[in-house]
Amino acid sequence: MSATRLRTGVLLIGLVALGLTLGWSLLNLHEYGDIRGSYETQIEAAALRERRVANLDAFVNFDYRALDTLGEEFIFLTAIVGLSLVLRRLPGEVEEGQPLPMIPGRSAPAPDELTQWITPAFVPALVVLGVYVLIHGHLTPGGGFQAGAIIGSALAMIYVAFGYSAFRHTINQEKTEAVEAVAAAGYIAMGLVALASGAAFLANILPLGKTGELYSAGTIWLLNDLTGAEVSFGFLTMLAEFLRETQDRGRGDDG
Amino acid sequence: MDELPYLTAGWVFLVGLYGMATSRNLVHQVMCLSVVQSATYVLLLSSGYRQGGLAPILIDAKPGSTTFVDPVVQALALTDIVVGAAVTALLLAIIVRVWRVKHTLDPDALTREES
Repeated sequence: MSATRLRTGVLLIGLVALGLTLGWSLLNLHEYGDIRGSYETQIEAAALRERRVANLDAFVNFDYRALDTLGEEFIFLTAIVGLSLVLRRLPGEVEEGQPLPMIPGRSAPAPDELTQWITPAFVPALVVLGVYVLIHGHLTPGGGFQAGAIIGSALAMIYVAFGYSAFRHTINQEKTEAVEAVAAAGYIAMGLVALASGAAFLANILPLGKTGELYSAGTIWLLNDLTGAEVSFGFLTMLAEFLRETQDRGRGDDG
Repeated sequence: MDELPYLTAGWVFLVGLYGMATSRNLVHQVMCLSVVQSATYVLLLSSGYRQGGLAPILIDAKPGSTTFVDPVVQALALTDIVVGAAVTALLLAIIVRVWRVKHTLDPDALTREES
């Protein structure tokens, strides 16, 4: 295997060269803990003045960079659409509804009793936690993307404990796709409503409220909630697409 | 060692790159790509750190009198994570397709079959 050794040698030369230049440039950054930018201080001052929002991250994401967050959401949406396209069955392949051949000896382990006991207790609690993180996104650390990850992972536990058919039974993929699309469209609609009212795209059009209260910060909480809905249901669509590949085959009958 | 967070980012980046180049399985390779991406999170967050700074939440703290870490790089790290998740999902989907057609995930075996 001299070809492999040659390849590793070339790789190591490249890695050492890259490591040296990377280290040199990293050491030339500003001293750790001593960032000097005026952008951040201005964001701090503007957050309370312009939006009465407590979480500065939410302020950056849904006000200053609201358009970028729209792009971000659509990267996620496009990835899910692409994933569904890539995973569709073509003629000549294993047919729809049939499981793929598995690597011998690598089947999923049989679900154990403890997981099956814990899951029904954890799933609702985690979904509640996710919703909490979602609706308080403009007040405390968290927000739409984080909440989406929590809710999506919570419902993935159903698959871990009870297998594909239970997941399929609980999660209706057509509906998750619909909610995801509506939430993504809602984000754009918020921007268009602002445009129609004479303001800039995605500008605030709602009363600001009082800092620290649930209904404050104008459109930030609404954009945040829409993002959370899009991400959590998008995550479920993604899971449903991947899990369809397994079709429950080989669960515990291969060990 | 005040520069340790920066050097950690560089180290994680290089380790992930090494893993990607020497990987014998496509799934493993995608995981190595995630490691490379994690380096960017470390770099972003450590470049925005301010000595003694608090999390940028204004509930009990007033701007001006309190120091906060930079919220802008935190928001960028969030974007980074979302893009990373999207890329990983798409790559894994492509790998499922490769497995369906070729029944192997070894990059070397796939290259041999091509030639």
